[in-house]
Amino acid sequence: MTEEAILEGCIANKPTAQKELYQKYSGKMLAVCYRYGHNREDAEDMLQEGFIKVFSQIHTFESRGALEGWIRRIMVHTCINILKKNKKFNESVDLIHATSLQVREETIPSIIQAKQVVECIRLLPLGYRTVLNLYAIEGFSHREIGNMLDIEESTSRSQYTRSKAMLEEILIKKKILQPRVQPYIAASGRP
Amino acid sequence: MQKNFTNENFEDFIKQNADGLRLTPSVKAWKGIEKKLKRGNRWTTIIASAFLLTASLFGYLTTEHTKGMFKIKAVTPTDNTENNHTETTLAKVISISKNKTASNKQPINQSVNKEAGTLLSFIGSQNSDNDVIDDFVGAPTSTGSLNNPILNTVSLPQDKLPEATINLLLKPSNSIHIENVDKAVKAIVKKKKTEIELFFTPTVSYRKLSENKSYLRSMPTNGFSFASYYDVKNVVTHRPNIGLEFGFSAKYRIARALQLRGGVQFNVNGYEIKAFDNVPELVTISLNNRSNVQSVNTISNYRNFNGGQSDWIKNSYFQISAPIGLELKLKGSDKVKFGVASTVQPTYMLSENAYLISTDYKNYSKVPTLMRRWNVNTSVETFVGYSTGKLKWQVGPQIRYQLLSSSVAKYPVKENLIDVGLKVGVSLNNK
Repeated sequence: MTEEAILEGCIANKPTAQKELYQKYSGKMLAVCYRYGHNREDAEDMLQEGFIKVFSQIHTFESRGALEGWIRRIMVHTCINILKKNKKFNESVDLIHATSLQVREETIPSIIQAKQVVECIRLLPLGYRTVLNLYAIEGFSHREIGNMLDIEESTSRSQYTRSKAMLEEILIKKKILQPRVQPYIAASGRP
Repeated sequence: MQKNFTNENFEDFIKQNADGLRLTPSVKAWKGIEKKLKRGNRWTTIIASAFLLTASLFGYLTTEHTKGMFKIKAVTPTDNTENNHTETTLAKVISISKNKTASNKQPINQSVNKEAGTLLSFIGSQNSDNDVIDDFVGAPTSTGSLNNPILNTVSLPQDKLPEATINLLLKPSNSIHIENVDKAVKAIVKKKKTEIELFFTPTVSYRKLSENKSYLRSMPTNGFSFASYYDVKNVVTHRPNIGLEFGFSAKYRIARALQLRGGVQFNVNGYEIKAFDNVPELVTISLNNRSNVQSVNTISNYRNFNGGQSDWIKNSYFQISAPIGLELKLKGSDKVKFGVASTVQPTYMLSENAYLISTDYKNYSKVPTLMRRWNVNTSVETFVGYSTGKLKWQVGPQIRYQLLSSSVAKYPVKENLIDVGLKVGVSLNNK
């Protein structure tokens, strides 16, 4: 089934088309939700809610953009709304606490690198992790992140800097990255 | 192991790895989605079932009412001394009443015959062996005129005669007068106090928009709110849409002209909003949660202005309510009447398809979690009632108003739905 056919089928509420769309994107979208959720179960709940929104609003999708990008944006916003609703997002972690997180130095030989990196991201405190996900992976600006999470733009910026430093440290300890040779520069091109 | 990364390629490294990950969801995840998607279709089934149930109930009541009419059946005579006295008394009753009305007009005479038949049938039903009636009807008496064919064919309701009336008629010491017979008959043919009405109301639905005052009052003093500067009524364009109400109500007569009403009603209502197509964009809806301002972010494909092609988007609601109220007959007879009625309706929103306006009044987006599930409606109606044999029709204009906003209290805009329609109700004639 082509993407156009799937789209038309989903607009017409056809279960086969809906299942096709789900099978095509659920793997990728679960990985997105997994980065935001506390655990696999949380991620699957987010995925369910996200796909229900996708199916209920698919008639509003305009084929000007990519369907995958549209679904992904819905997933990300669903995840953020769920985190905010559960008030899990409000936890604040200061830098002292963040840098003192205990990470065992070890290699993770049996799983692929992508999984390793995502697992390392998931080791970050929720607030840091969310900002890092939204900025570095989803490409939102700090202003947009501030609006989404009800925090100041500067807070988003500082949280990102800290989360990046923490993640780097974790990745080095897990021997996924080698220590950088250049001095670390926190500035970034995006607002 | 990744080597020699810089600040930029560190971000690329993270993004590439994160995007490269695929996870397989459990079977349970799809089943959950499937179940929730089917729920939408379930409402169609619920509406159809409710309608069928209502129609069946009405049909059943109509049939039962017809069955309730019966004819006097033939019974065999017996020699019962205890009942002989009753026979004599009744013979007197009927005889006197017949003689008294013999000189009157024919309709009155027929009426008395009916009354006599009613009494006979009732007493027949009160006596387990039914002997009295047979003796009484079959044997020639001094009055000699009771073997009237009317007695054998007249249809009578199965109401029970009050004990006081039985005593009045059967007590030998009582002097028998036509007034007593009339009283007894009136007691028998007394109207039922309850009735079931089936109704439907085609409506035109609209809404009243206003700023949520409690939202504005609780805004932080340094906070900015569009609602404070722009009147929401002036920034949206909306128009009415067609709706429908249907259900049934039970009515109980509490006074000569006053009835108490209660029932179940389904409501489908909504309206249309003018919006403009737009590329998906992030929309924020601010909520005031008493102590702090929260916000919900969502994706919108519609703008309130400055978008692409204009479109009318439909907001629709499907509710179930339990109207409770009073109906007052102002004028008229049993045949034709005019009256007013009013109800209060606790309402539950079964499903909705509603776009909410963003806090900056620029976009429309669906946020089901911000919709209020429980609400209260009121309705006022006037009607003309007309009785046609077995059925009673009641037709008249009705206004229904939703007291609480369609959205939750912390949403900055209040919306009260208004439905204006023509109610058509039908019920069984209990005469």
